[in-house]
Amino acid sequence: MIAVLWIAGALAVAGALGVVIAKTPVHSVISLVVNILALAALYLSLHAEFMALIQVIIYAGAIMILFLFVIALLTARKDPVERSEGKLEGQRELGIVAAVTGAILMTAVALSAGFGRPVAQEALPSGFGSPAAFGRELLTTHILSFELTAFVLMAAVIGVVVLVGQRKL
Amino acid sequence: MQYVLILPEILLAGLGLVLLGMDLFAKSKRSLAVAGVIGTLATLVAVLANFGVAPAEIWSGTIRVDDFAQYFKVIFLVILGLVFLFSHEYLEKRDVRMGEFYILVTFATLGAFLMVSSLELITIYLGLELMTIASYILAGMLRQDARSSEASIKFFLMGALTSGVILYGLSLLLGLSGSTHLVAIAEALATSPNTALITAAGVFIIAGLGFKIAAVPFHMWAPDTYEGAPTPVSAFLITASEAAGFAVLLRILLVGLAPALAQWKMVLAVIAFVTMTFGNVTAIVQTRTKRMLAYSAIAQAGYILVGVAVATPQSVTAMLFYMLAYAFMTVGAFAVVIMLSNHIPSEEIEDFKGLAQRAPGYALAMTLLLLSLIGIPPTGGFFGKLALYRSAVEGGMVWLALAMVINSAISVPYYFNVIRNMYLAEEAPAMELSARTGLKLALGIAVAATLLLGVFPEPLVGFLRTIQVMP
Repeated sequence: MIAVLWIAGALAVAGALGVVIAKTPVHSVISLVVNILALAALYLSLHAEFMALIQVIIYAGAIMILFLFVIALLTARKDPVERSEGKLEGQRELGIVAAVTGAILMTAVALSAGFGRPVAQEALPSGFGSPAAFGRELLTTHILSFELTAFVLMAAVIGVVVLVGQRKL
Repeated sequence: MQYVLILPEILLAGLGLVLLGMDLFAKSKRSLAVAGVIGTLATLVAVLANFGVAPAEIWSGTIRVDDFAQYFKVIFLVILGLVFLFSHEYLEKRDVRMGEFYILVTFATLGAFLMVSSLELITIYLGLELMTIASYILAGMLRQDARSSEASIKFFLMGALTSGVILYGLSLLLGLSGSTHLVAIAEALATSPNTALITAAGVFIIAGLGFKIAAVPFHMWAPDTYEGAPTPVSAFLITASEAAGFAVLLRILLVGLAPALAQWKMVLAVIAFVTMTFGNVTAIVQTRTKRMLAYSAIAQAGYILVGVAVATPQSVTAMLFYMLAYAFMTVGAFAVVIMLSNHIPSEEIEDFKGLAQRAPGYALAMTLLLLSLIGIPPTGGFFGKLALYRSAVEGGMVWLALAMVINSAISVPYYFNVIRNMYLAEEAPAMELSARTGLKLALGIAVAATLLLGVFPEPLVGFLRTIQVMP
């Protein structure tokens, strides 16, 4: 299992970096797909099969395709590279220093906590990760969070109308 | 029984949906504000009815109903009600979409409600997201004003980043304890050998929530956002959004991270000191009203943080008192700013020139509110600051108490600059200053409450002493 963690973890990080570094938006989206698939593999290794499935179908499938369409529509007639040099002096260098320092610190913390050491595993409840168990949890224990998410999405939809809609009242 | 306990949330969510429906059909958007006030009052009644009920956790522990949560809900509702009262004319003059404004403010308050009435991390986080997503949009609602767009985009980028930082911290807590419930987390942390990981979680959570309450050095977005956002939104963000951030900070630090609290007290004390000093010193040189109030808000956040840093029952009581007083005095001051900017859109401090002759009532009200912000008797601000100061001395942080006193002195020039402009400066061109009933009512409530809290603080303080952050 630990091998899955390392490989999928590395792929996820590489994908995330690719999203930021890629020069064309299409490459960013494809890097994001790599990241999402790697996360799905991580979910699988945690016995969350349904989550992994959903991750692939909804995110890698539906949402990323939508992203690609939008990018295709918006950048069809433009040169893809739209990148100006940062206005802040040394921003990129400082960012790299901060990222590396953060990574080193977090690695040290993880190692101090015994990362990679085998731990006693509790037996999972039967049916863990199955759609039935997932649905039951979502609609009983976490029903409030589920409903609350609906409000978050509604606020976002209203936001789209307000910020992008026509200017006149 | 369960439904009675979360009736306030249900009513507020219902209010948002009713406004959404009304917005489609109502000819006069004014009826939305009226409905908003009525809905806020109904929710307030539901909250007040729950006071003194034995603390209860319902719905698999995702909602916790106790007096701590009820008290914060009262603060949010006070702010929401005042915003409903004083926004209409401003929104009309600036051509803001009113229906969406009222709906989003209601939803943001609903998010704040859920942040305070839970000990469960997923609910807290979703409440936070609901509040901040609604706030990003609200900040950008002046679409013809580039500064409003800047406010919104800055707020969004910083907010999205810090939400990620908070999530990282929360996920570390989950990993350490195997639970998303703060009480279970505290139990697990008490015996956990992974002190480095607990520290890391604390760093992420304090940094992330530090952004939300605009504590230095996490304040960079705040002046631009508070200045560029529509003025009623600035008032809402500075008071409600900040109070919600403080409530969550208190819950996470005093309940979840309680076993590791000692190591954070000094860090928080230093943040509090830097925040109040930076805010006050920078506010002195500002010439625009909202920017001055933005830095003043940062300074005030520093004072309130003293209560978190000291972390004794007395300091928490003082904090709770100060946050209510702060809500009244800040929203009241913004009511005057809104009244003025309805006539003079520039929003410079200079605009206050000669206000005492043109509109003595407003000048007097503003003076009182500013005195309260400085912390001069007989106002609620004075009593709150005094209580914070005493709790710091008793909690063994005398230097922090001293810093508070010195900072109050530093803050005098910029608050008095406004008063000087109102009373002493040459009179500006004569102009008819008028305001609608709602704004007058809001200002009246704010001033009356500020005075009341300053003259008769004892009943409230007595009640606040009974409030427990810990379950």
